[in-house]
Amino acid sequence: MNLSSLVANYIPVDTIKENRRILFNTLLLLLKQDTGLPKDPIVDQLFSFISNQEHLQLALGWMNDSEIKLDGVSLFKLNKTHRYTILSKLF
Amino acid sequence: MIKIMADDNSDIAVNTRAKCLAGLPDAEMKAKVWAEICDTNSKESVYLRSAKIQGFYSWEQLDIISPYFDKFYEVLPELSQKSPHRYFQTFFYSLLPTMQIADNHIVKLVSLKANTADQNKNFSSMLQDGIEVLIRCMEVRQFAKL
Repeated sequence: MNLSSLVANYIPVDTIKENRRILFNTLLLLLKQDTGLPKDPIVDQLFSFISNQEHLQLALGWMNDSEIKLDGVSLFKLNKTHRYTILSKLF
Repeated sequence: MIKIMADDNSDIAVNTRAKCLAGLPDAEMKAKVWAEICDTNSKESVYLRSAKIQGFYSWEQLDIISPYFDKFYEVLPELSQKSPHRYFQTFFYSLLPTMQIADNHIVKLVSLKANTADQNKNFSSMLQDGIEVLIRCMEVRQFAKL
């Protein structure tokens, strides 16, 4: 079971949206920091937590640029699968 | 979607298109997609149908998708008999309604299991797993509220 399913199924329903928002920001922070952790699994999880208009706008920009950028700094180059995953979240 | 995918007709693009359309907040589209994913005579690939399943539920569309929580239990017996096991497994675990769990949902699974022949072990054990998943979700959510 992945992190997104855990959040969707095992915390009170009325806290899911807020926790998804927090996890999105946490994963983005992890991506920004040079922790030595592989970045692919972080990016794979990140899109599952797009949960508000701000995240959508951010992800839309990443999709168009084909890279995750934060404060003008490139953090990760997105492949076609990533871009299509973002696209499906926009619907 | 057109701008991003252009004329990409790769499998991943086709599946993403299907997932996007299944995710549209439109009751008519949901009804159409539901009929497609429940069609036991479908000639579409498991991947394409699975993509539609993945796009079907959304937390932001509870008003449109909640009628399908009851329909889910109604279609299980036929789908389990007439669909490839792999597809049925995806259908069951992806669409098992954990967003709104009511006691009668658990009762429906228990009832289905009671009416399943002993030799149909795959379906029976999947139903048992579903019962346990729903109870576990309910209990953990209640515990987390304390």
